[in-house]
Amino acid sequence: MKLSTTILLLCFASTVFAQSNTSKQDTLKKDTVRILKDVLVIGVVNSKTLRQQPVNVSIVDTRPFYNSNVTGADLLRQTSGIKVKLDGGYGSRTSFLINGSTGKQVKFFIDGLPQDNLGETQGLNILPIEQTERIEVYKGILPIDLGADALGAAINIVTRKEKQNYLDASYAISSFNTHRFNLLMKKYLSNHFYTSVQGSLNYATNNYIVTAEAPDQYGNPQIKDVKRFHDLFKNYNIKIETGFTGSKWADQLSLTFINAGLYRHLQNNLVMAQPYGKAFYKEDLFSSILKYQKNNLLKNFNLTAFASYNKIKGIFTDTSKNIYNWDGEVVGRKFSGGEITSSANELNIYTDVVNAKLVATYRINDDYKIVFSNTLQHYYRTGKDTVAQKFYSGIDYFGTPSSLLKNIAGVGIEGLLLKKKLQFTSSFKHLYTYIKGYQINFATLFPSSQNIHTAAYNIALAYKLSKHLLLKTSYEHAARLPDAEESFGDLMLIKPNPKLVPEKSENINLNLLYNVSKVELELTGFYRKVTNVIYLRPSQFSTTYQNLLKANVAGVEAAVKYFPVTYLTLNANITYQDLRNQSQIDNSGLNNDRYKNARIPNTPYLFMNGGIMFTKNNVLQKDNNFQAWWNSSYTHEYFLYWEVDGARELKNRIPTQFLQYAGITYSLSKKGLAFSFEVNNIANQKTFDNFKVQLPGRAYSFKIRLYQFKNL
Amino acid sequence: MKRKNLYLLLAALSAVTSFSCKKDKSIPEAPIEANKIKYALTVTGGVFPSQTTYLFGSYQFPTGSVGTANAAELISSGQMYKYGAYVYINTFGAPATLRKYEFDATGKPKQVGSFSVLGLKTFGAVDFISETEAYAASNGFAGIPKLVKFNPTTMQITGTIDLTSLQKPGATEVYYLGMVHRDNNIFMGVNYQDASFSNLADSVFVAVINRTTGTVTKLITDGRSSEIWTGGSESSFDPKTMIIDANNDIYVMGFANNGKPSGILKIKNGTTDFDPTYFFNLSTTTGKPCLGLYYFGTGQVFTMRYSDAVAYPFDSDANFDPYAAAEYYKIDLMAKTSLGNIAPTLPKVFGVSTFMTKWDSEKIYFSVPAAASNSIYSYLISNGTVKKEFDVSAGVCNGFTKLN
Repeated sequence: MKLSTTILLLCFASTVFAQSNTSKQDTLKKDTVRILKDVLVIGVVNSKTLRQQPVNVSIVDTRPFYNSNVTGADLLRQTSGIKVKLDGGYGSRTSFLINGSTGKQVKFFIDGLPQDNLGETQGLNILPIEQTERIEVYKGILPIDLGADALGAAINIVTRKEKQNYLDASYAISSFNTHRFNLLMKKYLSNHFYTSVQGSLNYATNNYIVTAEAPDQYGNPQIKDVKRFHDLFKNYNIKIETGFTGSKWADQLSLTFINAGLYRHLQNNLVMAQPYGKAFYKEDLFSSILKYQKNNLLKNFNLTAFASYNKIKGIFTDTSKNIYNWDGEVVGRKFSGGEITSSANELNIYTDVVNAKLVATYRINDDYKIVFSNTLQHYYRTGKDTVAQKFYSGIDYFGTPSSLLKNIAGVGIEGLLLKKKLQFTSSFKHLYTYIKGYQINFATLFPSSQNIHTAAYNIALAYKLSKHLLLKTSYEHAARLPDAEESFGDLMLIKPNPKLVPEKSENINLNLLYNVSKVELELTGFYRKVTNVIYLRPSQFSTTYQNLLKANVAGVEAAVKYFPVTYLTLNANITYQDLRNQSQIDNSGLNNDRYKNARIPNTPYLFMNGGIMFTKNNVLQKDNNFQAWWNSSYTHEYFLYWEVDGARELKNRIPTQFLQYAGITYSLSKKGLAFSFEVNNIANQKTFDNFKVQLPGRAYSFKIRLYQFKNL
Repeated sequence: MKRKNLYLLLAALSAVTSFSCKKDKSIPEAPIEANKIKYALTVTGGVFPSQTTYLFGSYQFPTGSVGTANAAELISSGQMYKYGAYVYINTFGAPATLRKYEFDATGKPKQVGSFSVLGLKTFGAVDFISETEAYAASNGFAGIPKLVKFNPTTMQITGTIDLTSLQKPGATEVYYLGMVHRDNNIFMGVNYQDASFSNLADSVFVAVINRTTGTVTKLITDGRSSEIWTGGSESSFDPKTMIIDANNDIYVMGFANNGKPSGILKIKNGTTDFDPTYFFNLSTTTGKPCLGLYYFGTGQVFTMRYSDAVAYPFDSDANFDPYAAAEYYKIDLMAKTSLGNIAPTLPKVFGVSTFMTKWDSEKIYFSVPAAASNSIYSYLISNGTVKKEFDVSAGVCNGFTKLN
């Protein structure tokens, strides 16, 4: 898709670079040739500062990876305490498991602005890494200024904000007909006024080979290797920003417009047993963001404010009556319905989301400050499906609006004690939501609405035991409000349940950070006691979010980095998390405690990563640099359903997996040019994150990046 | 029951039930071996629609509380069939797949064959005729109007019978529910739903299919009851819709709905039409609506009577929460009378999840899926004594049979 456009743009970029002054050095250029360290980069000032805060946070500095072809999800995959689960190939839905929190429990932000209910176009799995500066992963308490109702984890993507002119473009080609193009331009028209453009195009047919059960002429399932034939993904993302920085009246005042879209074929059902050949999902996002930030607006008073309006349109199309086999052939026709649903669908989903956020900080003195934060979101969704409406005798089940108003207000204090050896932070949040939707029972709509008020509070401490040793601990009473998808379903496979109540969790964290010249070590222990878990059980067809479980989560993780010599970095981490059910399971009307203390199914509990990085500067020519790396990840097998049921050897499981990735990068710093070659899944292992849904095998990629910077 | 939820229908389809004692001489009887699994059970746990089915065996007649430690795990709800020395399981989810199991030397279930139909989400009913001939009805969910003919020994599809002629204008969903065979015909229940999930017409429909020609001969209908709603066959474990008695008469169970009573119709031996002179009004006779027909010879016929009509037939209350209100009633097909509750002290049960089965002349075994327990009971044929045999700990038992 648009390959010719991509090549054309690359040619344009090459011309620009050829004419540029290659003697201009800048810090980011240095970043591009610096050691490609492990994802937990401590050497960066901001990262180090953040990590030494009382909250438990992992910082992924993305700048060293600009030359490579990784995504943000790839980087997080290598981070301790984080498990990334994919639904398929490039562009597929991605979920994160962080210290026992998963799904909706993990909140996403871009530059501190919540991404709840904004669709899939801004996901970490497709956002070009060059558009980011770092990824902050909070495990446990969130900073008060994020203003969120996370239950114990959040990911904040921090975008690039260099005060300089630059042009940065890249093109990557990968296996399975995957093409990725990225373009960033920023220009200061005066010392304070700037404008920037960020754009990306992604395209993948995802026609990788999977092992499927394909019925033969007698209906007998035959195990065979087949190419996925209806798994196209493409998306675009254009972001235009203009604003002022460093003026008397604003450190930053900016207005941003985003237009993004994605198109995704739907290849199979949730257990990859039934192939589809026509169904697809399409989504468009129009977003505008106004941001104002000023430190010392009044004496010792800082203010940050955001406002955004977002319009999302999704289209789910399932109108074909064809029946496909795994060879992509039509083997039959249905009498009615679509490939997936019995009604067939051409479902248009219209969503409007308004976000507003205010963060005010007052510094009492050098050691203490007070932070106030308020985040407001209004969500409104309606739908239209003429195909289904016809099926349902003119009744439009999708046209009924659903709305959600959410406000999170919080106040916190941060300070230093004991000769500044002890840092502390504490906050209190009030969470409110008004949910107005409906339930469908026996094909009848039942309107439903509810108000929810709840509170969350926390305290975190960091004590500097020595120059090299930092001890952190925290306690949090966390609460998470039901979100729009949980309350209203997705109008496709998930049915609404507007009567959900908030999830709550008691969280305790303990961290020990050790840092000397050649070794960085981090040990973490965590405990969560979660109630009213909003749970979507694995199912083969439509299902509903429910407050099903109480659970205890206990876990440990360890991460180490070792720099034996200047050109070599070794890193490893391991995570063990024990999620145990504490509730009685309603078993077709039967309440019992059979599953009490049983491990929560379909959740990985033991995983580890390891890697090695070799870096050599001035290779072949001065300022030309070479990097080579190898990373691996291991996930221990886990069961899809309750482990107390069935013979262990006959149970459905996600098997143990060991994956390896490797790559090399060669950069010509003076010319602003870099090349990268990478191999994913080197051993071509069959891999799964979700039951029977096979992920891509061995994949190769090549990337070229052109970049140029000019300091003001 | 003006409107019906698609998933509840599936629950009904895949729920558990009874195995008729009527012996077909063509069914191979495996020799009894002391060291082989003698009994097979299936249990479905979880909350619909996220359910998991477990198949396991037992060397001895189960006692106490039965678990699933040696069970095979099948995704989603399942329906068990028993034919000969084998167990067959149909689970929900595309493609529709029927799996055949035996038990290995260690007592564990072992799949020995299967076939699938792409595009189809489940089979509505499976009827075994001989070791080489059986039929599996497609289910209306996927809109594929065909009856699959297969060889249960090799588990190969040997043909399909086109059911397109059974479609009706205005019917958005057509369900094929229950089958029996007699002479050269298959009798298959048909249910028509309109776009509002209401009955297209309040009548019982049965399709007559010629096995030799592989064609639909005709569709017969009778408006004295509302509809056919559950399925089953001679080999299944669920509340049956059709049975054949010792006289080779077919009895068809109609549900109560839209002012029409639950009741039993008859297709007399040698005919392919409803007998206009026979109708057993169960609603009037028992005082409440009924579902399911369990037949174990003359004088041993049972149905599920709902003590509270609110729970009929979805086993849920007015708020759609689970509500167990059904009870086992004995009835007399000839006299058209009720012989009453077989054990008034038994807890009320979820009627759609019940089954009755029999393999000797002494006892009939039946499931008691209640609100606080799941158990298998026995009914002593000689004097009607009811006794609890064992509990099932991991969910609702939806199949219990003796294999050899």
